Amino acid sequence: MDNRKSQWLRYTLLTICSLVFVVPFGYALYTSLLSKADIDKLVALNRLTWTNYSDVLLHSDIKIWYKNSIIVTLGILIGNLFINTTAAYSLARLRYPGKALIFFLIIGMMMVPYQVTIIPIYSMIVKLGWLNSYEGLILPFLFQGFLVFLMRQFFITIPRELEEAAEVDGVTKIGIFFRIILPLSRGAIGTQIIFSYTGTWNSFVWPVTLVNDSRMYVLTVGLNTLKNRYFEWPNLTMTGVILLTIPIIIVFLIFQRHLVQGIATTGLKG
Amino acid sequence: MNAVHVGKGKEEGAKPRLRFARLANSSVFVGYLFVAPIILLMACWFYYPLLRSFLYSFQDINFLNPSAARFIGLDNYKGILQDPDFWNAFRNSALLTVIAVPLQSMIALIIAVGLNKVIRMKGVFRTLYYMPYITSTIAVTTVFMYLFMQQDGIATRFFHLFGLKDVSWYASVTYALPFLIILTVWTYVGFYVVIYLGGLQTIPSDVYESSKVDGANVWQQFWKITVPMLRPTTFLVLTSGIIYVMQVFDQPYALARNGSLGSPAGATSTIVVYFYSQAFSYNRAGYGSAAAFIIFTLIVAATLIQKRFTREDI
Repeated sequence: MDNRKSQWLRYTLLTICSLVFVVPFGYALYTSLLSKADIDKLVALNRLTWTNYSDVLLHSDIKIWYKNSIIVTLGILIGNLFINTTAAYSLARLRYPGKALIFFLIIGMMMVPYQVTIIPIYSMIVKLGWLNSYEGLILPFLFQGFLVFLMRQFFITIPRELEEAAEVDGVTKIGIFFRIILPLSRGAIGTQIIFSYTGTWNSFVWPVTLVNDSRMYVLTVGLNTLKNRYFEWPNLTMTGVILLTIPIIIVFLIFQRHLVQGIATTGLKG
Repeated sequence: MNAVHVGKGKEEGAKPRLRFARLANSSVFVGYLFVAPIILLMACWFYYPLLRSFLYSFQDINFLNPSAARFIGLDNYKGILQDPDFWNAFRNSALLTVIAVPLQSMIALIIAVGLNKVIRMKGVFRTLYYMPYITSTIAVTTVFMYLFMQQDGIATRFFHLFGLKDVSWYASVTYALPFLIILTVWTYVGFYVVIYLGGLQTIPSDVYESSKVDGANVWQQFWKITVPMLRPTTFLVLTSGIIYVMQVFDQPYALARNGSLGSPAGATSTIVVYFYSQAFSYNRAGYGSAAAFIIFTLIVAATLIQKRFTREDI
């Protein structure tokens, strides 16, 4: 088998495989553009319509759910970036007593499934009066053991000489972190952004547990109720699906090269 | 050691600015300062709840009336292990793990090997395969319910050609678990493709070249070089696959619609679904906590068994 032939064979196989991955997305997009009369039919392009989008945006609470999702995701993202990154730098580079124990406590969280903490956290949120509030949806999720681990793995690969040179020039430890390390860490921070963003935007079990007022729903929970209510109208539910998915795909396309790097550094070196 | 140190010694504590500079340069001070936020948050939102949950698991405690809690020893654990619903959920999770994890790992390996040597469009393909993984599980489940719907569903019609029944898969007691398996595999394959692609990069290309000189064909290369050299990656893929699949929850939650969790008739009840309905549908905080620790134990056990097997292979 010559090289050209084998390349063609590869492309054919890969294209067939990717069809399986593309068809559900294509179905969702196509159905979201159908009028009620055309559901489950194959129609010409000029019969497609945007009315489902205006209907869903105007006649459901989806705008509020969007706002809630954005506030919660940004809140958690900012907290994650700040808290995980400083902790990771501290663990990677600074020396102090008790560090090994702290490292163990942070990494240990990665092994424990959320079921083990969700019941007491739910009671705590109820007691604090934070059910149906942004506090309840944001504060327990500001840190993530996995992302600390990811950043630490990255920081230990930065050559020490850079920090030593800066020290000679009289830059303090805090200055080194902000002025030398952070500018070098754009790639790793990109990885952290995409993990934290997609994880929060798509999260379902926590918001469905900590919120029961539909005006405080995030998009995933909102879509689930939309689907249950309008299951007979796939054009409407698919519109919801597309509206929920678009922001994640945009961010993914912007940051995707960081994600691949991130998986390579944590997954395989670690 | 350097200029800052000398200067500091002379004017120790003289000006607040300098005192700050000295603190800002102390490894111990900055070290604690940087981990302080996560330690506080971890204590409040992880380790304290972890401890409470452990204590709950030995108590008869209800969300509706927490003050009536009483210590009952191992009764929650015993109750779970005698509950047929738990064993049904256990069976479903075990089937899901035993079928979906090897299946998704194999498909991911094949796609990754195919994709590795491709010259153009590699990024496009990788993105396409990865998209399901970053899409909301609720969105994916919603789409798949329509694809696997009686009569009109594209997938139902496709499988009907091969003699499978024309039913709504998610609502059929026989087809609901296979539906969940397909959904799971479809979601996770792309993630493992990316991990395998990373693993393939670590195999030096001269290994393949010298085997070619020795007359090895593509098939032999795959079994004698690629598979053994990817063993660490495969360990990672299987371990994280087991952990993810044992955690499946959103999909059964979404497909139950307004019915009870695990619908139809418990066919999609996984161990996490069992946990969740005990804790939050029946408000049994103590019993639910015991279920949570059983899940935790199962995940640790599955990982250890898996580790043992991959080790013995080497």
